[in-house]
Amino acid sequence: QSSKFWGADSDSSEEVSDDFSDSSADSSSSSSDSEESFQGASKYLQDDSSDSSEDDRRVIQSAKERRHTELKATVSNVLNHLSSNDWPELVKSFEKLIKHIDKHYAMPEQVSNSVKRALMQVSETVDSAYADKEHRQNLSTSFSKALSALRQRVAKYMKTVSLDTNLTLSSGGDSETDDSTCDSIAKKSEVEVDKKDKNYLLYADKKDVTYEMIDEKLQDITASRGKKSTDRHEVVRHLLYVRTLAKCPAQEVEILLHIISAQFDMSNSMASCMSVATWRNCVVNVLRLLTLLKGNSHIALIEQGEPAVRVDKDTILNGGHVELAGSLCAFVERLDDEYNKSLQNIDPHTQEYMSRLQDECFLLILIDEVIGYYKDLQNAESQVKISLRLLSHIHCKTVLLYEAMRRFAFERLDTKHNHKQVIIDATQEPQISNMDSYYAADGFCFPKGKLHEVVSHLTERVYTIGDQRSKVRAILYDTFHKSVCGDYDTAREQLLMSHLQQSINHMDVDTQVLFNRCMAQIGLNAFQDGAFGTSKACLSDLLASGKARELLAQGISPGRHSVERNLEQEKLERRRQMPFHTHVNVDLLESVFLVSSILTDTHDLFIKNRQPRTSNRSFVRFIEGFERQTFNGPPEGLRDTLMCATKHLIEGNWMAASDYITNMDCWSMLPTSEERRDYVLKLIVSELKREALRTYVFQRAAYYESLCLNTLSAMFGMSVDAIQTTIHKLLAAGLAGSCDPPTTSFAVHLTEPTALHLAVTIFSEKLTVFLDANERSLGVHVETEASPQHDDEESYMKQRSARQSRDDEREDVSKLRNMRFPNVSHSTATCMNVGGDSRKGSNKRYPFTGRSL
Amino acid sequence: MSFAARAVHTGDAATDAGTDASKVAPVRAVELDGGAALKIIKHCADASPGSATGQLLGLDIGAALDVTAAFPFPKIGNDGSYDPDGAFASEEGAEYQLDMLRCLREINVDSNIVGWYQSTYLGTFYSEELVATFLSYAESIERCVCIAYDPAYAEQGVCALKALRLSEKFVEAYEAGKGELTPENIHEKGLKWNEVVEEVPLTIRNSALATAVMGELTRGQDETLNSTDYERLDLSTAPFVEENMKLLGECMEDFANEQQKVAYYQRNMQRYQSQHAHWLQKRRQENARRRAAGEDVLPEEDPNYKAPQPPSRLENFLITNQVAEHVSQLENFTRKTEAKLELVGALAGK
Repeated sequence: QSSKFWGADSDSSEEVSDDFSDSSADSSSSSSDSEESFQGASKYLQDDSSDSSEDDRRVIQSAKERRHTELKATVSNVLNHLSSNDWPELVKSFEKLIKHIDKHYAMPEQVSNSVKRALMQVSETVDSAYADKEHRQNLSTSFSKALSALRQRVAKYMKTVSLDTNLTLSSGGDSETDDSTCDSIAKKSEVEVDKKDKNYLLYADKKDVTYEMIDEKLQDITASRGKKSTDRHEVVRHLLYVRTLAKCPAQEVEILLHIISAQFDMSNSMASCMSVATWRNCVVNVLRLLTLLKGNSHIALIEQGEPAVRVDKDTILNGGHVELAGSLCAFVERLDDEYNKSLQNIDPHTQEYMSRLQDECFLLILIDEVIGYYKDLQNAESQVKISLRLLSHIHCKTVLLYEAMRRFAFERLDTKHNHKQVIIDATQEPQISNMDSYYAADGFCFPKGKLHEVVSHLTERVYTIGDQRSKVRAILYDTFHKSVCGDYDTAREQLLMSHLQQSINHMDVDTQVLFNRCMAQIGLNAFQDGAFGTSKACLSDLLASGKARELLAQGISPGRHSVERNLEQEKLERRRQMPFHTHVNVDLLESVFLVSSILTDTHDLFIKNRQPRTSNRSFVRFIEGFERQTFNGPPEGLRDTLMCATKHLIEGNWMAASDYITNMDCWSMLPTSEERRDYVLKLIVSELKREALRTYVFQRAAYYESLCLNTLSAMFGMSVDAIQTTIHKLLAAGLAGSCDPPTTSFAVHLTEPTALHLAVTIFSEKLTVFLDANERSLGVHVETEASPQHDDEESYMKQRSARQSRDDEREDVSKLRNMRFPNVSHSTATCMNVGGDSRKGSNKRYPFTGRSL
Repeated sequence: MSFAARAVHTGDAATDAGTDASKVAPVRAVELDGGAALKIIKHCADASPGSATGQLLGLDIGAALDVTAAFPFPKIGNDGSYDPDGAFASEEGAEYQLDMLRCLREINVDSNIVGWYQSTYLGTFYSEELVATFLSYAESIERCVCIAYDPAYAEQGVCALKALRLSEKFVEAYEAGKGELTPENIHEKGLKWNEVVEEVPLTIRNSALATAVMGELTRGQDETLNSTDYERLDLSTAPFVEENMKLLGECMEDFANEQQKVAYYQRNMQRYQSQHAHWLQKRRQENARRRAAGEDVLPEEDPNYKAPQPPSRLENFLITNQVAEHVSQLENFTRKTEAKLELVGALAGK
């Protein structure tokens, strides 16, 4: 308290000095002098007390005294100015007075009578002075201004004061419950007496407590729930105490239900999360509830609807059948949500995050137990819900991580010394310390079995009893899990079998995020397996848009899209974010994607009149952007490095390119073993050579009649056989040329496409674009048709005419289509005639390639 | 001489036809005088690859329109581009035209304007100018035709003359829409895309004298083959197809532009509809309240918002026609070419 006052005092003295310096330009008045001297004294006092004295009483008294003298000085100042009609000065001193009162008194009415009198006097004098018009006209401008300002100020202030006075009068003046104003013990006891009838239970002897008393208290608390005036923490504390008094299991369950929901109520908005201590406490409570429910089969929780009429006291005490409203499933889901929320709110690079992560094992234990509970009840819906929650926690764990977690959990359960310390460190509430003893005592344990067993068990259960969405989620979790564990083939097949690619756009956002994560993980896996093409295909959708972070729910990337987002959407998005430890590294993803693109698509840049839609657009864009730079310095950053490598690769310098790529830092983040990583890098280098060869052939072959395979082999550090293989593959893919084994050379048959060729290609491209656009607008039409609003005739007519015109259009389109086919066939027929030579040439060589392979 | 005589001779028939259905009787056939045809062909072929236009003169008698004479319009500017509409409007062109007509009347040539001719390049004559010119002609003469000559097509050994006119349906729809081709009008008239411009059967007719001269000229010569037959056997196929394909590609581009307009319109329309529905709902609630309170009801028409105008269909129709034109040319051409290639293949194989 004292320090608070001191702080306030020093504040005010500062302000005073400010005021003083402001007015020092004027001839200094006596008041400022006195202020100054007083200020000096107070400074000494302040130093004194803060340095030496620890006696609270003395400090408080001196502060009060000082306040009084200060106040008195101000008041006398005001009165002086008032009597001399010095309006500008009076304005200043009056302001000071008000400030003083505001600062030191919670209510202006508490000021002493002398001050009140002074205030009244000021108001009266000012009013009369203002009313006297002649007097006003005689005043100088500055004076009259000050006067009118003062009048307004005074009127305003008096109004508030008088209002407050009225209020205190009506309430009887006895409402001084504020601790700062009255610190007498007597009053405190009075308060307790007031509350006694309500909270008698809390002070009564344990033996005196009856069932009815507890029941009454519970109802009291239920009634106060949701009211603004109730102290939520207080409620929880009371309930916790009441629980120790419970007379029978049924009652304890009821109290526990109240406690848990009260604890959920403690955090007051969806945005803020539960405190860690409360969360842990809540877990313990839910576990306790679970034990009670398991131990007493006559108690049933009704999850939906109202429970049956309350059974009377005797049956409850005697262990009759009891129904209570509450849902373990909802509790667990809420706990899970809160856990995720707190992970989102904690800075992931702190120790706090680490210690919070340790709590995950309790959550897992709890969820596993609850699944068991629901399995006994044969409640499919809740079982699926909770199973998915469990999956969401373990799907991204590797076997190692999971085993470590299990060990950690066992350690905590077995030895009591360690865990006590750990938990007490992290929390303040003593109840938490017995958290683990619950597990030990009641036989709770970590989910049994190996990780993949647990996952497959859970997913199978969801497949059999879940609804569509849960099944989809289960498949995705399973796929992700398999992919994390390195089982790339199964994961890929599973994803392909699920046919989710077509329908995923119609799912909810969370599932889409999960799908994206799956794709990212499979992409990473494919890369580690050397399937660069697949990896590229998996990742291109994610990375091409430049919104990878958003798509994976791993952060909100600022940019032009953020402008369109309104506050509500942003909040939603924040709530969706994945916890940090489950993140897939986006930088790694990007480098994997770019390297895969380099390895498969560089030669694509040099294939003439390729279809634009088949090319890897984002990659091409990057390269174009890189080439547009006037000066390319040494590469900085991931993309720059890779573009530099591409540049070298295009020039045929695969050595430099492989240096750039293999020396990148991000490979250390690949989630595999050391040998595997080296293997992947080796694969990359050999694939890089091959790509360099391909690029070379497409880029330069037109300048040669034939290429000697031996020379190529020397250029690209590959064996002649390997070169041959690559070239044969290119031949099969449509490169015009032929191999000649006797001379180990490759004859080039490149022919430029004729003008007709080009014209036909361009035409067909334009046609497809046009048709696509047409389909799209047709779709829009159909959509608007699907939601008819025929409420007014006009729009109906409009729609009807629109429909007619659409029919016409459709006719047109179909005609166009019919036109297109004979057309194209004609033109391709002529093409075949015109460009037939080259095709025949390459066709003839096919058996050739087969033999040499 | 012969012209004047014929005019006198057929004068009664013309008046009869005029009393019957002079207002609506459309041109069913065009008879082109051989001399005029040669003039047109020469002018167009000389101007090729630029464009050329000229005036058609003749007699409007009975169902068939007689085109008996033609004279070229002078080229404007050096760039060879010629805008028939612009020339018609410009002072000089009009003066030249009048002078020409006066001179021709003096030498006893028909000085009745019945239309105009123009050269085209591979059938690219479907444009808004064509429609505009037709309509401006229609203000002064009821029945008019446009004869189009395609030098490039003629090289294939075909008679590339075509007589065109606007269809009545189109004119009605166009006029009902006050110069705009709106969807409503199209549906009202049941206008199809291929009914904008009608091709009129064209016959070339020579006077007896001319036929006699021709007979005299060819007497004693081999009549089974002439130079056009050699042209028909030309084996170079690519350029024609290529050009047509290029033009088709351009048409597709135009189509895509139209498509964009439609998409833009659709977006606007959707926005407008949702806005309007919102407004209407509010207004109805307001009205319900007013009715309950016994006040006057507000009108349910929205003064602030206007429904976006649908884009004109004219361009769309014209492009479709253009595409159809190219396609039919290609079809004809490729059919012939295929036959030729088969023939040549068989010959070479023997």
